[in-house]
Parts: sequence; structure tokens; C-alpha cells
Amino acid sequence: MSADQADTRSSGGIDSLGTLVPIGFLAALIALWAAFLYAPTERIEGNVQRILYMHVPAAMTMYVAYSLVFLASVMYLTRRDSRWDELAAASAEVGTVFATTVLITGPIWAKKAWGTYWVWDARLTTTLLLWLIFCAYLMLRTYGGAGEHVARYCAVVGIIGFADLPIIHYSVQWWRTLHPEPKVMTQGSMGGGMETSMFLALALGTVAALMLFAVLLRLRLRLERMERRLEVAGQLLRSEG
Amino acid sequence: MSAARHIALIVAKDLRGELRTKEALTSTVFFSLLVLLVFNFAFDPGTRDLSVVGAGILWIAFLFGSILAMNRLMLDEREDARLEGLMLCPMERTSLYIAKCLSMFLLLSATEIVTLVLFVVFFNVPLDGQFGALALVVVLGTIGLVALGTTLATMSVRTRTREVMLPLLLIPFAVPLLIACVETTGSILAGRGLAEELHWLRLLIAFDALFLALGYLTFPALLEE
Repeated sequence: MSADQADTRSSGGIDSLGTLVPIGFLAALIALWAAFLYAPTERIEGNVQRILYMHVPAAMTMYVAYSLVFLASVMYLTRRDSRWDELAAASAEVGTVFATTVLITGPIWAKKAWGTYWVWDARLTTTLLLWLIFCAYLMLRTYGGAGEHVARYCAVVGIIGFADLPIIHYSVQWWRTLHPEPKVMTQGSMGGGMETSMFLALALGTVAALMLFAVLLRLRLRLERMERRLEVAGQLLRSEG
Repeated sequence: MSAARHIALIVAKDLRGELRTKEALTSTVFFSLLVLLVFNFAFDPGTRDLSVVGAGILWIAFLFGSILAMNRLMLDEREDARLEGLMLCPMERTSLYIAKCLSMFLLLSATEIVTLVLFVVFFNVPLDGQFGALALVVVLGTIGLVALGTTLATMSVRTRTREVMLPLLLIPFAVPLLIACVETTGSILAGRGLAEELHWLRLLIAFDALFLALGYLTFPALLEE
């Protein structure tokens, strides 16, 4: 990779950020308006239910991000183009931010709605395990050491981490059924019987979360590329000195 | 030479090396014994339902023991550039994956048999006529641990943090396997057998097949230099 190519690539990132940021900002404002002002207050749960408009979009974005890690990992192992590895690294990190958001907003809502911060419900446990797998993935990247082999290892973990999802899903679902049912779990029925304005606020929230993901991914990618160029430059300097 | 012959040669090499030092065997058996005892003191299973606590203790001992054994076996290959030597051999890299899985499986099975005996003795487990069912669960669980662990241990010993990385990677992935094994083992210990646990057996088989296939497909990518 020559320095010129790297330059055009990173400036391409800046250009698309230039349009993404204002649109994303606008989307976030609209989503906030929809969540706090437009959507009606839930009859039983009250205002705390509005956390839905952040919680569910974050969960959807998390799945988008981790799917992207999976795809980029497959592409990296087949094509061996470091750009795919950069994408996987950035997407895993940003995806984990959204997963963490899901895991923080969830208990806050649950305490009010279900009377407890945490239940070992199938969906919660799946999210927690996915979060753990990708934390391990990020640790492998950070503590793995330098070298192209770590990129290959991460690609393998990114692939098996995502492929594990159906197994995790069924295991925690069956595991749950042997325990007492959680007090309230109306999520399943909620999608169908949801108020139109609530659904609209949720959709707007999802758009805003995805825009935020796109912006953060772009920024993280740019940082990743700068870091790599710096490393190459450092190596050159050392070999010359 | 055929792939089967390559695999047999590598497994024979691994076992010969292990039988000479008995390092992995001794340390893993001793460690599993310690895990059993620590949990015994922590939970006092004498006062609780064994099918609930016992199955968990047994599988924690297996899981933690397997981490120790797999690290041992893979770290050995790092010494004297042994893995590089193996990679120079004219054979498929996938044969190396199967061979390593087999060596690990044999090694772990040996340690698990000893752990199981200690478990039966210490926890006074009634196993009348249920040995076959328990063996089936242990074999399926071990295949899963080995299929996943071979892939993860191969990478973790070649990272900067070496053996620290393996448990961090393995445990989150192994949770579905752990749940399935504890549920089925618990049912066996309670004397209910496996008739109502067939979905867990299917899940274990799916887990084993998935990680064997993924390990087989991705192993060559782990070994490039």
C-alpha cells in the first residue's frame, strides 16, 4: 500500500463524514423529539417506557454491527485485503458500544417494568453472551500483539462468534423454560399491538441509531487507518535509523 | 501417505510425548481434583440436591481442566519451533487440526475418567445403570470442548499474552455447551435418564458439528506464516 492510496482513502472517509454528520444530527434530533414529545406516555409503565426508543434501536444496531464483523471477517480470510480487517475491527468496537448501551438501558427499564434489574431471560442472556464474546474478541485484538496473524485470528473469532448465535439462542431459551417464568415479558406481544405513534418513534430511533453507528464506524475506521500508517512509518524509521 | 496416516502419526507423537513427561495428565487431573474439592467446600453439596449442584461442579471441573490441558499441549508445540516443523511436513493443514483434536480428546478423556471416579467417590454419586448415558454426555461435551478449544488454543498461545487468552475466549463460547451438559448430567444424576433431554443432546451434536466444521475450515488460516 503506497502513501498516496492511503491518503485518498482517508480523505474519502472525511468527505462522507461531511454529509453523514449533519444528516445524522438531524435524525437524532427528530428521534429525540419523537421519543420524548411525540410518542404517548405508556399507560402502565409511564415515562420509563420511553427507554424503549433507545434500547431497541441500540439492539438492532448491535446486530447490524456484529453481522458486519462476520461479513468483513469472511471477506478478510478469503481476500486477505487489510481493509476488511480494518472494517471488522472498527465494527466490532462500535458494535460493542451499542451492545453495552443495550445492557445498561435494559436493566434500568427492567427495574421499573419487571421489578428487577436482571432476569435470566433468553434474550437478555443471548445479548450478554454475545457481548462477552465480542469483549474477548476486542481483548484478542488489543493484547494479541502486533502482526498480521492477529488479524487472521480475529477474523476466525469473528466468524465463529457470529455462527454461535443460533446455538446460544436455543440453549438459553431451553435453559430458561426449566426455571420459573419471568414476571413480565410482554415484548413478544408488543410488536403486534403497538400504538402507531410508538412504532413510528421506534422507527425514527432506529434510523438515528444506525446513522450514529455509521458516523462512529467512519471515525473509528479513520483512526484505525491512521494507527496502522503510523506503525508502518515507525517501522520504516527504525529500519533506516 | 494418506491423511489418515498423517493424523495417526501426529496423534502417536503427541501421546508418546505426553506419556514420557505426563505433564498435562498429572497437572490436569490434580487441578480437576482441586476444583472438585474447592466447590465441595464452597457449596457443601452434602446438604443440597446433588443433581443440581453436582452436575455443575463436575462440568466446571471438566471445563477448567480442559483449559489447562489444551494450553499445555499447545504451548509444548511452541518450544523448539515444533509447530513450524509440523507445518513443514508435506501434508494438509486440516489433517493437523483433526490430529490435534484427537490428541486433545484422548488426553481429556483420560483426565475426565479419573475426575469422574473422584467425583463418584467424594460426592457419593449413585450411578446404577446410568453409566452409558453419562458416558454419552461426557463424550459429546468433550468433542465440543476439543473442537472449539483446538481452534482457540492454537491462536491464544501465539498471542502476546499466551495462555491467558484461552479462558477469556473459550468460556463465553462454551456457555451453551456447559448449559446442555449440566442439564443432561443433572437429569442423569437425578435418575431420570436422558429420555426427556433429547433436545439437549441434539443441541450438543449441533454444537460439536458446527465447531468441528468451522475449526476444520479455518485452521489453515491460523497456521500461515
